[in-house]
Amino acid sequence: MNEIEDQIHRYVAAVTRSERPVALAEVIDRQSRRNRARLLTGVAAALCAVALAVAGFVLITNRGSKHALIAIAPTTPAPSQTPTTQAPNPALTTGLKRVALPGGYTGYVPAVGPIAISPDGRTAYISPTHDGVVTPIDLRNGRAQRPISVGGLVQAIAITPNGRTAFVVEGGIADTVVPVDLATRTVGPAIHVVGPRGLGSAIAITRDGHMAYVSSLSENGTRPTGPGQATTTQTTPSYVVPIDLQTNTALRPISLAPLPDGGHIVSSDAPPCETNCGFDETIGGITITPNGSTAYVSDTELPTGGLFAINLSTGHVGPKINIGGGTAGPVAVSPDGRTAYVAGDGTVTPVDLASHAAQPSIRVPPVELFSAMTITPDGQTLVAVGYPSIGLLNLASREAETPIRNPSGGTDIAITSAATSAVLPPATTPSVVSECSLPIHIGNDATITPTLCDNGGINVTAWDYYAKIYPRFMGLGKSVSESTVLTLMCAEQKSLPTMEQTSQLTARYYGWSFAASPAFEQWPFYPKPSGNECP
Amino acid sequence: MADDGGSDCLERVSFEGFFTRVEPRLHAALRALYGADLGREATAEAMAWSFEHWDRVRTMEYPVSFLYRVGRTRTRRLRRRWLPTQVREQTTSIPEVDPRLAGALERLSERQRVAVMLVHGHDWSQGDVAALMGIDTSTVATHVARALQRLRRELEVHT
Repeated sequence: MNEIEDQIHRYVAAVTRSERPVALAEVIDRQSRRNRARLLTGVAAALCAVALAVAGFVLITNRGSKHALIAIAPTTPAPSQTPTTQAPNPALTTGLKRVALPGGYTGYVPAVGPIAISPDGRTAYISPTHDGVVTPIDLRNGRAQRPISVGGLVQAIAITPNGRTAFVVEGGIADTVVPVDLATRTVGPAIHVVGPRGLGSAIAITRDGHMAYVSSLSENGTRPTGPGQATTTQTTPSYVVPIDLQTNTALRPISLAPLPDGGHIVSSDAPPCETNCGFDETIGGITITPNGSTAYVSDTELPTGGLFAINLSTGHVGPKINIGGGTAGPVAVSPDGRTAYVAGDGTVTPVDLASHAAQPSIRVPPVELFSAMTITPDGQTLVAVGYPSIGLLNLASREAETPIRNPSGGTDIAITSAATSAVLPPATTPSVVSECSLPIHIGNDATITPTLCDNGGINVTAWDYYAKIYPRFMGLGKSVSESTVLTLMCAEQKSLPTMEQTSQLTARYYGWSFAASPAFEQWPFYPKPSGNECP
Repeated sequence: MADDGGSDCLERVSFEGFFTRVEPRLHAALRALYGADLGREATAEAMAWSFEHWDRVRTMEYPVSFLYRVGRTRTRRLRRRWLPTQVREQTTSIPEVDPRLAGALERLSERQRVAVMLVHGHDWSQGDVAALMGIDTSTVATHVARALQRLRRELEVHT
């Protein structure tokens, strides 16, 4: 057998040859079906293309040169795929990005997969791969602990308010919700969900920890209309599945759309799909009001998205609240329970929960595709995770704040509830000053700006940048002598400007009392113990 | 009115040229991520999104990287249980390819699989893959090395 690289090349070539490329007409048709207003444009485009092609053909025929066609059908210059120099990725070794949020909160954003943080703020649980494991991360040092195997594909994770149990939504073959005892790392019996044949990626737990609500997928395909009856193509709408966490049993699903009997409680399973079976995740998010009375569920019903209110006492589903503006994505409710925020296509729509009236949509630049959304516990800031970065919205002024750079993207976010400074590895103690996350600019000499926040705190992005270059120096800790610091500066420096920035940043982080001493300020020309200057 | 129509024509033909250039690269990346069927679906979704948002997409410096993320986001809606079987292809009929290769590729992490398939299957540079994923080139090199190491071990290929 050939080298493995050669086998990969042959394999990819064979698979590519056997595959049907996506056609332009298919793309136009796909988009046109979503938005009927686009249909005319699409048809016009096709007609234009045909017209220009004919015109080009005429010109080619007349001039005998293909350049004529190129001349009349200019295209945008080929977008360059040349890579740029990538700044160091300010991420923990696990791919978990830590961000300092307004109000002193700390957010954690995984590059892939869901995240949940224990109520004490010490441990994050992530599942960055589709291999059925949940990995605990010690947030004090950023280190991954031994993974917990839950089986299947982890779609969502939620932790009970008492911090004892994590509930993992497993969207693999079994379609179950799996309880995990976080103290013993014991995986309990899977909770089987009746009704839907697929679970989604949204889960919310009530504040009293008694109930969880999990989204299901919408299923479409051809199936019998009844036992022994003819088949028909139909779509089963998305459900919300209540789970009693005291008995770990799934209750009857709640349909967002009215059922044939006029109610919303699903009392019987739909006949299994026979052909052309497909699934669609239309529910963008579930959130529960602080008083635990209502769950708000965002659901996409093309061409407009909507928000549904479920009375958790009765299971009654209110009429759809139109939010407009395309698909309905993640949803968050303010801590005072007065306003819900629903992410759509490039915007966030506030919904007054007293009147259920949608207010004008707001952009949270630069976020265009929303993956997850949360609100800081003080209710001041909405944090939107998506592409191409993390956006911040001041909820008092409803104006966007300086975004947080997040080049690796992000799929979910969890924030620590305590408004305290986080430990920034390689340090093992928290910063003595506040933190912020500001985008950095890398200069030609590899120094960066800004290293500090406007209020003199530590810019976490800058800290992470230098932590990769000077990990030993930045891990020195609070209790260290000036001579030790100066000696290590001489030994470790990669360049004078970067070492100077690092020493200033680290001194501020630990609050070194000698940071203003003459020797420290005059480094590297200080007298070493041997009497020589630092080389 | 004639000018408007002509301008619109040129815009659409520009999208056509963009589509011709970008679709193969995007399709290759998403196929490596999700396998044939779901990869094709993700590509179609991303290209449909780019058609709708053409005014923004046309000015992008790295549209493949952006649309790769669009494809990922849009296919969140699709059934994730399909993923394991989507990556596996029929390899028994490909000459000089170990039939176990597809299964071994499937068991790699997403990033390892995308990196090794694009670098060694589509001859992308590691820099191209880094730009696609938004990660360091050195990280791509690590993914590729580890993927090859794991594939060699699983397929018992000795160098």
